[in-house]
Amino acid sequence: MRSHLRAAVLVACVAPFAGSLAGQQGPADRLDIREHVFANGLRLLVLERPGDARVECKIFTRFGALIEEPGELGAAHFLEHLMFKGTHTLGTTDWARERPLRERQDQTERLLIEELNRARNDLRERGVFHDYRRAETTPTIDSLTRAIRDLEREAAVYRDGGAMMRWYQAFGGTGLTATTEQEYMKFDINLPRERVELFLRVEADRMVNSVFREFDEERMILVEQRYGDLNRPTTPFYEALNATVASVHPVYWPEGYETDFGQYTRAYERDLYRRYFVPNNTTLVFVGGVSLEEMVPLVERHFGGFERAPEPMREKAVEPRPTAERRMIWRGTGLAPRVDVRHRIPGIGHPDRPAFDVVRELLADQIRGELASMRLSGTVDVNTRVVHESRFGVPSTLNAEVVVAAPTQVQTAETAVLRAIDRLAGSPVDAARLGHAKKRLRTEWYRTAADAGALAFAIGHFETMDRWTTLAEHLRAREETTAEDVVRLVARYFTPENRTTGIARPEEGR
Amino acid sequence: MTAAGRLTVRGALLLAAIGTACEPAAPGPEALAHPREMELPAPGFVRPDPTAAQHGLDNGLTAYVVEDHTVPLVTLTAIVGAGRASDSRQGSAETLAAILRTRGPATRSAGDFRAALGRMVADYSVSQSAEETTIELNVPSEDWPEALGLLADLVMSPGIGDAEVRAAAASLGGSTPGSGGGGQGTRAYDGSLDSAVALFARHLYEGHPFGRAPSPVELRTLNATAVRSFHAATFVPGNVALAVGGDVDAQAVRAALDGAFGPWESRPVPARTDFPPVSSDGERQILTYPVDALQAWLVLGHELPVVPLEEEAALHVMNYVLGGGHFDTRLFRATRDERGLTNDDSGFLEPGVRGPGSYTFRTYGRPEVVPLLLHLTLAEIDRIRSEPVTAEELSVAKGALADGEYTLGFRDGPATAATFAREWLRFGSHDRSATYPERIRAVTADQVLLAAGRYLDPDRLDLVLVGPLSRVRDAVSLEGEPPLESFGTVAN
Repeated sequence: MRSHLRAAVLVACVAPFAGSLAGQQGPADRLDIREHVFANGLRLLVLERPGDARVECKIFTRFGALIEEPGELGAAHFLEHLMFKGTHTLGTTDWARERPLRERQDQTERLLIEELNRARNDLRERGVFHDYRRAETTPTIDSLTRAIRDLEREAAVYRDGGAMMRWYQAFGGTGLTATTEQEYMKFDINLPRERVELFLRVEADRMVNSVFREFDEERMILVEQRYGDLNRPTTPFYEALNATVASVHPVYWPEGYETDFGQYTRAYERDLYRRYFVPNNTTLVFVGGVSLEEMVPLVERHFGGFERAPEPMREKAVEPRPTAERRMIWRGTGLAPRVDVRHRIPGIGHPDRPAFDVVRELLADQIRGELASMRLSGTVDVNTRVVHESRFGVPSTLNAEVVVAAPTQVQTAETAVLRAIDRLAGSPVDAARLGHAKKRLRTEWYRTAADAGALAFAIGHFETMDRWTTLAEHLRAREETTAEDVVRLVARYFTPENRTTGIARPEEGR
Repeated sequence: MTAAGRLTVRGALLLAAIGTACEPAAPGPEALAHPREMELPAPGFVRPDPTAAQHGLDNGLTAYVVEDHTVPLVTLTAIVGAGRASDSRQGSAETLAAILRTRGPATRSAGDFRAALGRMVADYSVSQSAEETTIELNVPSEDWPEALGLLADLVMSPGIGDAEVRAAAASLGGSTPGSGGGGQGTRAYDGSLDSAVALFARHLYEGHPFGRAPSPVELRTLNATAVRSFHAATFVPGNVALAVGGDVDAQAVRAALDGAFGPWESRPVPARTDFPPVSSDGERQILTYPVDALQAWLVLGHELPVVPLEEEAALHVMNYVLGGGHFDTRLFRATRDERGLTNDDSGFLEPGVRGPGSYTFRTYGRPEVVPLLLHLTLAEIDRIRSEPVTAEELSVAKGALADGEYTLGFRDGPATAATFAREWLRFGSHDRSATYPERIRAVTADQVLLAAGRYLDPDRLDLVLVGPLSRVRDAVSLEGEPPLESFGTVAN
């Protein structure tokens, strides 16, 4: 039952960092983000851009692949797909008639799960190469599976496909997307400012009333997306390297193997949905032509009735301290020869983390310089990407990759990377190089902030990684990074025992 | 714990939850107004005034300056009304673009050019279509005066010498459509939708000026005189439109434009060529490119003739309903939502300015579903040519185009300046952008049907398929769809 308007718990505003750059404005100075936390724990963040005719609207849930278990990787991403399939009010022509069919579908699936568990010794995978009884089944499993599909066909009579998208589009919405990464799921749309309430109506509905229609069809969409990734020759290499970096932490796991996709069940997905899609685990972000004062009553109207729920389970895995250098040799074909040297670095929220953005820039320059001095041509990419994402609230890696023309050049490229690290650890860089690295980061940030969608994403992403206030602190700390900080961090973190090196030598053979 | 073991535990935990699986928490259906009934206000968006942004120089050059102080960045764009199909000596246009990309202007060395870009942290690109060349620089606002000077040098005095032409031509020598697209430093590989799109364009424009690509011999024999001649004839003030948008003082930019481009000598604007239609033998063709991959990529399409203004809106609405690159289209529902065959199946209108464009449908999927994917796509093309769109489809498309996509061209200062510059260069007025929303809102279902009949011709569609061909051919019919070969003649 919907509650009455509740008192605001907190209204906060990040004031500009006065004088952060000796009188100059810095990137953090333009982040006038305002916050309101509702009584049920829902967080609202607004960055008003007066005069903007449109509003970027995003809803973030602290829920992602970090909560997945081996055997069902990709389940978080799959839930995002299911949440596009409509609700009781959108996506159906007659919920009263559709509902009993969905209930029977759930009951049948419960029997299927029991049968799968009962037959677990017959279904167990025993072959290394997926070539031995991998697709075993039982007559009961087949029969229950058919029954579930038949019920889907019956329910399809009431299907109103595309409804979760249609009304956004009809009312001028653009940039409709959804994303699930390790630490967040988000849905977003850009709307005319006058129509921002549509977002609240649709997303409140999606948050509590989602119906998992076309479950098995959508499962195949994940297969298609996975195939799309695997068609890129780099994907298996990076996934193998991620697996080498760490022992237990799910941040390094891929977004689902083909063998996982058949394991998802409605019951498991609904369990995730109910546990994590609750107001106290949700943040709404708006960037554009609306103010906090305008948004608070609108949000209250649509989300205020949701009760605070038990806090969802936190992600528990902690990667053991690194103790030994690791190396991986990749001999697969189709990939240019390369070396990828990785070191684990702290996550967003750790005081050392902002300076690693500066280190990234300087290391790339230094490696290019070393390659030039060794007369070796190569493509240098220094990044913090793991799976798709570049920033995490947990320790991840800083990756220095050099792609070369011939397998025989890989060793020299590795030497160049290690020499570049030694030089950065050996003596402070000069002020001009440091200043230019910061200018690059500043400009990169402004290119993000120029786009309301990218800026709203950054705000919400920092909130899911740590706290939204960390974004401004992160930008400010980068600006304040000194040459001595760089020396200290490279010496502390870029040690052999914290290092994983991936080598791709496709022509080497076995 | 094994996967099966976990299911047991989880299954037990879920028994209670399943009993209430369909019980809504809140709000219930009765509490929610349908979006149609929300009485959402009309958007207050008003297109910015182009005349306020326009700055004309005496030599015929037209610029648009739009202030936007959201972030301290500036985007400077030069759009030239000459592209790959505009050169009389084959390869001149492509070589000039390559010189602009890597060598820079004659006023400074290539090293100094790269150093300047690096110093400014410039995001710099040169792109070229059959009819236009676009140079774009995005820099911090503190650097805009230097960037404007650099842009002027690039446009007026590119570094065209014999050595530069040889180097640029050599860099172009190995490029053929469909050979790139590896990404992330990979070795180029042929399996991708981008490859299929490029191969389709090569097929569509074969023998047409838009499809000409310089041969290795033509590139080897190209000299600086030919490239200079192309530059002199087409990079003239009246054939260039500039856009400056971002964190600048518009008055200061106008003065700087006068200083940098004012001395540029006025020269005759090249006559605008109306290019012929592409030739077609009228038979549907299948062009196959076998690649060992997990999926196959399909591009289905044909020529799009130059679209008269009075038919543009209905065509846009028709494409939006059928497959306009978003999540709620007929193609998306038939192939993705209802059957799980593909991650995407969308229609792309790519009109030319004075010559033929293309209308393509792009999709991909695992090989065993490709014949069904193709069959369903064709069925939807047939349906939109034979049945009127519904009132709801019409209403949704109009809202999406007039209140949504149209406004993107004016989403910020740089976009607004570039939209006006491109419109001026192409049409010499801003009537199109002024009237677009009202033209969209006036479209009727009959006009959509007419547009589908006029701009979609199933008999002239050709298909490019990149992927594991033998697996596609071996696909078992899933819903009674015919095999791949029934689509048309296999051309290779």
